[in-house]
Formats: sequence, structure tokens, C-alpha cells
Amino acid sequence: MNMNKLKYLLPGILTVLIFLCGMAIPAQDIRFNASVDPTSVSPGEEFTYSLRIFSDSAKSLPSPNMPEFGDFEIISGPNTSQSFQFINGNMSREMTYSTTLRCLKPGEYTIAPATIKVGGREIKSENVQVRVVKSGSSKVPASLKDENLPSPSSANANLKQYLEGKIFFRTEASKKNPYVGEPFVASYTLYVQKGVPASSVNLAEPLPQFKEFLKEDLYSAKQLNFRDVEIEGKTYQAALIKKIILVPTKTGKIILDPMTLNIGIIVQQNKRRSSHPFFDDPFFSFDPFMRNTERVLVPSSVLELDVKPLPQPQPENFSGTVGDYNLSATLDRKKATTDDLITLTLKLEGSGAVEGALEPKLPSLEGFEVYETKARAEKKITSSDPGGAKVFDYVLRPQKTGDMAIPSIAYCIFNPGKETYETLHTEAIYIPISEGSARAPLIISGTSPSLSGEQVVEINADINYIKRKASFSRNRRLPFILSGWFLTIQGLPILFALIAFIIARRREAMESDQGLARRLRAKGLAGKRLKAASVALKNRDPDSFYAELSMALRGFFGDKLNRKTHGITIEELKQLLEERGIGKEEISSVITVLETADAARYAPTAPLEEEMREHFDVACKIIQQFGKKL
Amino acid sequence: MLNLCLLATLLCRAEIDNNTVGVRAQFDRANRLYDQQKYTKAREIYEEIVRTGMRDPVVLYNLGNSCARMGDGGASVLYYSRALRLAPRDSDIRENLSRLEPPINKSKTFFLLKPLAWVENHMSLDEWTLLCSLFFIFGFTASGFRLLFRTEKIKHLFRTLIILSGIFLLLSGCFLSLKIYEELVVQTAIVMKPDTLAHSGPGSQFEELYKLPAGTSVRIISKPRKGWVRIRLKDGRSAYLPLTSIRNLNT
Repeated sequence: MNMNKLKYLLPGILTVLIFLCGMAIPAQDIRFNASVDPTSVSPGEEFTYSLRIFSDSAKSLPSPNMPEFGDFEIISGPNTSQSFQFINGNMSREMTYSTTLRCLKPGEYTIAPATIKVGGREIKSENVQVRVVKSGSSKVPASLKDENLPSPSSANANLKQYLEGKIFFRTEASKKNPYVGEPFVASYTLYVQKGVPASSVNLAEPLPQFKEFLKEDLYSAKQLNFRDVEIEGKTYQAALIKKIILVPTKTGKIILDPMTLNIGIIVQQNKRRSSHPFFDDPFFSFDPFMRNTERVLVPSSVLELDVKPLPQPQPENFSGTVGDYNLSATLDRKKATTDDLITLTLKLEGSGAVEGALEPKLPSLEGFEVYETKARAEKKITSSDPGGAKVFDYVLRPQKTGDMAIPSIAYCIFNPGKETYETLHTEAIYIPISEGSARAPLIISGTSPSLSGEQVVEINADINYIKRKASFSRNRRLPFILSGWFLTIQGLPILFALIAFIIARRREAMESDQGLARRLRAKGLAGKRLKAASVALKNRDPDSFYAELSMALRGFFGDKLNRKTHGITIEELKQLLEERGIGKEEISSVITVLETADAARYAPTAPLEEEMREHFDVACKIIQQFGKKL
Repeated sequence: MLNLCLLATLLCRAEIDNNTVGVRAQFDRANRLYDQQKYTKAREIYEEIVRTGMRDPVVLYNLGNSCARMGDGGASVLYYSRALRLAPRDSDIRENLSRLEPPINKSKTFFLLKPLAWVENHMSLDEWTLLCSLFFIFGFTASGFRLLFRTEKIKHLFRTLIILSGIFLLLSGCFLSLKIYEELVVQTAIVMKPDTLAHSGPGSQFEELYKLPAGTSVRIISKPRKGWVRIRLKDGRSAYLPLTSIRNLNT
């Protein structure tokens, strides 16, 4: 290495080394301690666990690992605060971690040390002892001393001292030793001595959960209603905060969750001394700008319950219901038929957690079939004794006739008042059942071996036997109304009516218009005459033949032209055809046939058969041709 | 050509006759099995006959009896109901159905409507269809003849016949409409299994409302959804049932 370069590098290396050495905080410069305040508390009373880390330098301080708090409930925190001090040019730093805790069970507890890591080493704080003592406030009325009512807590020691015995929050239970499953009422009441300037009351977190209980809220205060209560000559204003029905689900010692109220107390600041005695008069002591509110926490007393288990051994038919009950059975009618449905109502009434009461087991109801069951609870709660009624409805159908009986129904409960199991019985109910309009239905009552060895079902009411004769004529899936051929047949009468209508209309037209009628039938009539002519032709009767032929043509044209058939002459016919615009050649052919027919009738010699046939064909052709034109 | 048509007709007729003969033999066999109390086998044969498309009320009635003897209340009510639709005046079918169907199926009729209900229920859909058709054909034919005849007396007679046909056609048409509505439009089903749970929604996770006995007649009022269908009972209550628990009366 070049010595010149080393000369410049060396100071830099030394500077870095000194800097790194300066970065290291010696462990002996860190102080770490834990403390609680106060060290002795009542059950449910809050206290503060603080961790302080102090350093002689202004270097950043490591965060501590908090200890496990075990039996303690964390109310809030850890909250941090720090402070700096500058003395004789040296700056020091302190970090504080504060956690608010509480414990419900009395006893002596040790909070394990917290740890911090400094320079690769682990530093522990000391163990901290806390005593939870059932002492309560010493200034509460003597009659309430056994309840160990905790004192209000406040940062202001003077205020705390002033309020002791003047504000307390009581937890009360209607039963302190209930049985498991036996309900009781817990209430939380605030007492404030008259004259204490309380401004606002709020519930503080955490709210009680009552995890070991089934619960039902009776009352939660939205607005405080204070009433005056005299306790040992002092007047307190008492307000119910919460009332709840609790049913323990576990046995043993259970602490009822306490509640904490956050109450604002109006305090007066110290009055400033005025410049002149005149202004020290009390008249001038009222100064709204010199008042403020301080918050205090008032925890409720901690109530320990001793939940007793149900006595052993339990009866086999024990239903699981705990309470003081009566059981009654009624039917909704006094008589019935086999068609009717009857409702059997069982009512369990009394004090206890009635909503959770289990359904009574029905005995075998011979002659009845149970269709459905419904249950409903009717709760009735007094200040100290929850209860009500639970109604079970059973819908029954009678299967037999006669005087039928609903037997006595047994229901085994545990009565906590008598501390014994007792079986409730209903009275048997008799109801006459008569035959309904329908026969008794098939009832499946069992099996019996048959001749074939097959298991058959025994039936109480018989059914009609099978039939032997079947027609097997309905080999189709669709009913008539959806089948195609049926719908087609329905069209036939409509068609018939339509045709009849057309015929009738045509007939009317023909009757009203003679000319039309003649025109319409001209071809038909001519055809008949031509037929007669063909017969005459066959018979070789030229007179008849030509007579019919002439009449066929004259009649045809007479009908078509609406002229008299017999009187129409050839000239008249010619004129009429010309008027109709018929061509001369066609007219000529008609005239020729007519003249030939007339001449042949009076000819001395008979015409030849071929001639007659030719004339016949021409006549047919004329009628065919003029049938379309005219 | 005519001979060929005749031959074809004869062959078809022979085929139908052969089928009927075969079915009759099956029917007789099933009856013998029933007499021997072999109800399961008898039921199988009756069901086979019904599957061929034979809509005979006697076969359906016997099938209902077999199901009843086997303890299958739902199936027996189903087949009796189908048989009753085909032969509404058969007292045996009515009695057996009355004995087996649950009381919930029985609805009360207003006393003034009872005669009309009796008339409607004692004729089948096909019979009402034929009756309507008869009055229809008669009315139109009479109309046609009235147009063709000229004599006033005869015209007057046909007019009277037309009016009477019209009135009877209207009355029978009303009954036919009711029958069509009940048997073809409305989907009626029978609950097949005993103690079928009716729920408030289309799924078993919904609240159970009540149990329905086998043989309960229900009206299907919605299309199937996720295997569930909404039904209405005769007393007006509605609920949801699984599709597998009911069988349609119409098919």
C-alpha cells in the first residue's frame, strides 16, 4: 500500500472506531424498575403497574417485554410517557410504561419481572407484590361494611379522600347460593350522598360478560332515576344502573362480574386572592370560569356466589328442569269424533328459568295418534323471582271410539326451595269419542307372518277387497280433451253448419232473383234434355232426338238470357246473342244447329245416325261453351 | 286398395287384442298373488301394467290396496286418488280413500254448493268432455238443419233444441272448466313418506314448521328450486317440501 494513501486513511479509520465505541451504551447506564400503585387494593379495584427505564444518555431506549399478568385483568395500557433532563450539560432520558389492572379474587399476588435487552444482555425488573384484600372503603356505612364496597379511584388524592364513603356502587343478588340452573336476579345500584356534585355517569369499559351464566336483561338505565335512601342518618341518592336475570351453568365459586362507573365530579379550583378585601366576599366567590369536572372511577362491589350442584343421585326420569312449578293438562274440547283433531295442552307454571324447561315426555296414548307438538313460553318476572309459564300443545287424532283416557302425565323437576326432586302429575282426562263420517283410517300396528311367509302389516280398520274385472280400454295417456282426433271431430258439426248456411243463402238468392235462378239451373236442365236426346239417339228415334235437342238448346238460351223458352225464335236468339257481344261465327254455329234440328224433325227422310251423333256433339259443345260465356 | 286397408285394420286390432290379452293375464296373476297375501309381488305386477300406459281404475285400485296392505299409506292414497279421477262413482275407491287419507285432506264445502260439488265429483274429466261435446255437436247440427228446413214449425222446433243445447253446453262447460282446472292446470301431489317435515324455506336449514302425514294432498305452487318445492295445504297454509317426498297426481 502506498504510504501517502495510508496517511490520509488512518485518521478516518480512527474516527469511525471512536464513533462506534461511542454508540455502545454501557449496561451500567440503564436503570429498569417495576412498581405498582397502590400495592394493596380491594377486589375489582384498579391499580397501575409501571415500568420505568432510565438512561444517563439521550440515546434511544429499548422497549420492554411485558410480563404475563395471569390472574389480573388488563383494563388499559400499556401507555407510554417519556421525559428528558438536562443537568450540568448532561442529558438524561426516562421512559415509563403504565398498565391499568384489576383483580377480582382476594389474595397475595406476584407479578413476574419484565425484561429488556441492552447491548446483547438481558436486564430484568424486580418482582412486584400486590395484595388484594376484601377491605373496602372504611368510610362506608357500617351496615354495608360486609359488602367490601371499593373506594372511588381518582388521580386527585384530595378528591379521592373527599369522595370515600360518599359514592359507592353496590352489586346485589337475590340468591347468593343458587343451585345450578336456578335463576336469580343481580342488580347494580349507584349511591351518591346528597350534596356531592356529580355531573355525569357513564359505564366504563370493560363491560361484564357473565360467561358462566345464561342471562336475560331486565333493565339497563338510559337515564338515571334517583330516589332518596336513608342509610344511618345520611341521605343518599340511589339509582339502578342494571338489573339482569342470571342462570348459573357451572357449579362452584363464581365471582359475579363487577362493573365500573366513570363519574364526573364538579370541582372548584382554588380562588385567587383579590387585590382588595371587598372582593373576597363570598358573593364574588362564584366564578364559572374557575370550575371544572374531574372524572373518578367507581367500581362495584365484587360478589362471590357459591353455586351448588344438584343433589345426587338424580332420579332416572329427571327432566333437567329446575324451579318451583305446577303442571296441568287440559283438552280443547269435551267430546270429539274420529274425524277431529284434539289439542292436549300441558302448562308448566311457576318460578324458575321457564324458557329453558324441557318438554314433558308423553306416556303411551292408546287410541290416539300424536300429529305435532308446539311449545311457547309466557314469562312473568317480579323484582326478585323470575318465572312464568311454558305451554306445550300436542295435536292428537283419535283412532278409536268410546270413552278414551289421556292418562296422568308425570314430570320430574328439582325444586330448589324444597331442595328435593319432585314429580309433578297431571290428572287423567276422559273424553268420549264417537264415530266420524269417514271410517277409521288404516293403522299400522305391527306385523304377523302370513300364509306365504311374507311379513304383512296388521291393520285395525279393514279396506274393501280388490276387483277382478277390468276393461283395459284406456290405453292412452292423454284425456279426451287433449287428443287430436277428438278435436277434429268437434270441427265436423261446425263444417256442417257452415255448409248449411251457404246452401240456405244460395237458395234465398235464387228465390229472390228469378233470372239468376234460371241462369244457375240452365246447364242442369239442358243436361237433362241432352240425356233424353242421347236416349232417343240410342233408340234411333230422330223425332224425339231432335225435339229434345232443340228444347235443350232453346231452353238453355232461354234460361241464360231470361227469355220465354218456348216462344224464343231463331232471329230473336240471334239478336240477343249479338247484343251480348257473342261472335258471328259462334252465333252462326248455334243458328245452324237449331235450324238443322227444326228441319230434321220435318224432313221426309230420317237422318243418318252419324249425322245425329254429330249434331248431338255440336249441341253439347255449344252448351259447354256458352255455359261459361253467359 | 280397400282390402289392404281392411287387412291393416284387422292386423292392428289383432295387435291391440294381443296386448290386452297379455295385460289381462298379468292382471289375473297379480290378483292371485294378492289372494295369497304376496302383496309385494302383486304390487310389482300392477305397477308394471300401469307403466305400459294402461289407465284403468281397477288396476290402480288394486295397486292402492296392495300398497295399503304393505303399510305404504302415501302410495295407496296416490293410486286411489288416480283411480277416483277415472272412476269417480266407484264406491269402493271412495271408501278406501276416505279411510286412508289423513283428515287434513278433507275440506268443508259450503252447504249450498254441496249439490254442485257432488255433481262435479261424480263424473270424470272424460265424461264431462264427452257430455260437453255432445251438446256442442247437437247444437251446431241443429243450427245447420234449421237453416236447411223451410217449414216454420220445424224451424221453431230446431230453435228450441238449439237454445236447450246452448244452456246445457254452458252448464256442462262450467263443470268441465272446473275439472280441467283441478286435474290439468293445478299440480296436485301426494306426500309419500310419513312425518314429512315442512320447512319455512327451500332447504333443511330453514325452520321446521310442522309434520305432514303420508297421504296428505298438497298443491304445488312454485317451480322446483334446489330440489325443494313450495306447496299449499287445503287449509291454506303454505310451506316447502323436498321434491323427493311427494309424487304428482297428474302423471
